[in-house]
Amino acid sequence: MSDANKNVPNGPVLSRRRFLVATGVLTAGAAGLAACGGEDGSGGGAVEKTGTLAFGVTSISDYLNPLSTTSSRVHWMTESVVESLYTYDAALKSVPLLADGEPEISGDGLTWTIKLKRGVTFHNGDPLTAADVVATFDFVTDPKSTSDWTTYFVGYVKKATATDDHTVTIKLTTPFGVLRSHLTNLPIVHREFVKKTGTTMGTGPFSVGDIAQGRQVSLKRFDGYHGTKPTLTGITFKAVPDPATRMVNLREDKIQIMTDVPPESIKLLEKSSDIRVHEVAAPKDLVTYFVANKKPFDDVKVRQALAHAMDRKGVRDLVYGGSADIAQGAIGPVAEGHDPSLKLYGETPDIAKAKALLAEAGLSSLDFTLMVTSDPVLKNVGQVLAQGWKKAGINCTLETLDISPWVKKWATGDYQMAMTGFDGGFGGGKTAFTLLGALSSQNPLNFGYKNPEVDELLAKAWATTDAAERAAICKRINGLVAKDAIAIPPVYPKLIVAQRTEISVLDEKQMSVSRIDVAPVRAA
Amino acid sequence: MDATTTLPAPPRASARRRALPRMSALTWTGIALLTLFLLLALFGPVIAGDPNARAGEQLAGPGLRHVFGTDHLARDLFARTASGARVSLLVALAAVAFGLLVAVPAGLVAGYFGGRWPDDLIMRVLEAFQALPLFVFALFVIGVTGTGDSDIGPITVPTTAKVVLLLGVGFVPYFARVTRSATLVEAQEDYVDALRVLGVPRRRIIGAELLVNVLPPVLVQAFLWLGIAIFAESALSFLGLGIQAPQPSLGNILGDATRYLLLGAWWYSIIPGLVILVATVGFNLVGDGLGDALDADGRG
Repeated sequence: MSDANKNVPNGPVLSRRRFLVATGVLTAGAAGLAACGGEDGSGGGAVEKTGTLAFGVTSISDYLNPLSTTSSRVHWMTESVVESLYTYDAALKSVPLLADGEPEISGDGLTWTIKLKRGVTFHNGDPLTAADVVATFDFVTDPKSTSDWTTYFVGYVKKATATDDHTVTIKLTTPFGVLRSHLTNLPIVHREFVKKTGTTMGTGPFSVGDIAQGRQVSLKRFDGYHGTKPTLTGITFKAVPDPATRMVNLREDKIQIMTDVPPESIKLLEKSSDIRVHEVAAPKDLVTYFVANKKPFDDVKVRQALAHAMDRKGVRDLVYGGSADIAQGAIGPVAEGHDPSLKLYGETPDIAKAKALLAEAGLSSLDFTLMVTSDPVLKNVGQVLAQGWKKAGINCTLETLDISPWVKKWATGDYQMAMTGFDGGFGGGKTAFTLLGALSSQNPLNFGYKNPEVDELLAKAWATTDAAERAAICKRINGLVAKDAIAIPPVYPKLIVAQRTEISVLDEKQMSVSRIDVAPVRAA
Repeated sequence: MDATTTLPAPPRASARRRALPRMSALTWTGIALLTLFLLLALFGPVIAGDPNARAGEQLAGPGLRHVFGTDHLARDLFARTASGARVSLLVALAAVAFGLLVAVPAGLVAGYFGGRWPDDLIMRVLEAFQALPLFVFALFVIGVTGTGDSDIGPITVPTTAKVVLLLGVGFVPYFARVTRSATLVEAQEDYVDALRVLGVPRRRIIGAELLVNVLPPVLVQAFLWLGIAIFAESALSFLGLGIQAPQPSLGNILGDATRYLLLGAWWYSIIPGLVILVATVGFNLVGDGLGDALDADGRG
């Protein structure tokens, strides 16, 4: 002990009494600050005081160009900056925004002519012209651009040209009626910003301000906006990767909106009267893929056995805390073609049926690998599914990969079954274009699934301009692919967004197409 | 050869061993903690069964039915913790064994040639490795190879093997330094000079005579590093860079648990955390005790 005492450094020693006094003062101080904060908070909150809204997201991408990706994480930041030719109104009907009326379509359906609204300007004061629309189309129809948007246009759109300053002509290779929906989603970017990655410029009510790479993006109000002016002076997107920290920030009014709310935390957030949680059915799909030209999944009975032994209820309740709908086919509840009457597979594993199907396929057991992306939610989904399958004698090995190696293996068919999450709202809107597209036998991402009826129906679905007709066709396709068990998502997850009640209520209709429309937000 | 037969035997470690000194209370505490951990790791999985099976309600607290409670996917936390403890122990043993396998020969050679070019070459290379913190090195390797199994040419390296190699490589410089230090001392002994004079081949002096005499301090060090290895494996898996779900390890259980701490599921974080604490403290205290015993033996 005496030796130990020698090592005590010279300087003030914190006695027990001093420690208690110090902690008492600090605690009282903290309580006082908290009390002040609480009273002030009830008086309107940070938005009323500052005029700016803080939006907490999981990450800030280096790509701020909405033309390079259809990811919600980028589009949530840019949906107030850029606008499309058409937009969803309050009833989710597609109506003109930058376009001056509906497109004129030639008799053969191969030429679309679109007039542009006059008097619309970009954030630098340049007027919106046909050249900007053409530059946008040139980018998204160029496979070398490696943009997500190429999936929606390459092979269908031949060329977009400017007939005059305010008229654009789009030439198609084949009738492509679903283009009308794509035009509601594709942002029109200033022609000089089409290829830029770190920033963007559009005609929206906010322009891009300061960017702290990877941490924060600030938007500022654009006073020359052609539509209804927002009351907010700015919006700040903050990267808060840890969900618990995001929730604490929301409770402390450091952010007013948070995305990616962990389903298990909904009840905890709802305990606070200052917070409202939105759980909205949206195109936030779990997508499954099979390599159907190799054993064991070349046999439809094996895939059906897997579908019957799926623990859909387990995934919904354990992983999503009930914030998901039981799935029966590729198309979820908000997309065209969803069939609520489809009841092919049970909520809980039907072991007897699965075993009988495996026996019909000549198998007594089944071993396979499910490749999932390394997202905690997807890992949990994979684990619950594996638990259910095991009861039917199906042994599933879970292969968890980061997104890049996952995509590499997926694109080359180097897997047996694959699963990932897909936010399709900003790309496909209400259509099931990307969900069903890969099921065409002509699609390079289809590995062995061929159903001539599905091929024929897909061609009709994308050709028609009639949304109701397209929905009916997609509904038939959904039934066929569900029966063939080639696309068997266990559930349709909901979009979960939390907001402070001191700001106006976010529009859940817009959320059902993945939009979190913050431009009209004001202090409540 | 005649001279060799008349040479007095070098002082083997076993020959120098005397009665063990009295163990301190801390060492006994370490033994108790280690016994608890080993019982859990060795027999827990046998008693508890499948760690991935659904066993009851989601996030049920500890009770008679589930001693450690259940996790977010309604799996028995005792089964997962026991299985995770076994995985963590095996990874730690394999990593330390790999580290020893590479470090001991390197340290022996460096120590034998102390101050000459083979010593300089070996130690500078190892110091270069040592300069890179283990986690930075791990992040780099996992960043390049991904978190899943990795294909190196025709060979598929499973994630577990990757973690073992990462930790093992990280341990090499430390084990090599201890081996080198012990060898430098041992190489000054008269019996080593005698062996050299008699023309005993260098590789026999290093591989047979020196090896057995430098092993005790190295093994004590290795024992201490078992605790560090369990902690390091847990940290890597906690960060999602180590053992991947559904295979449990103490680190990935703890990593999953963080999402549920705010929901009041204290047992989910506390129990695997305590097991990591028991293992690391246990290995450290016993390792310290062994070190003290060895010092006492050396002095005696």
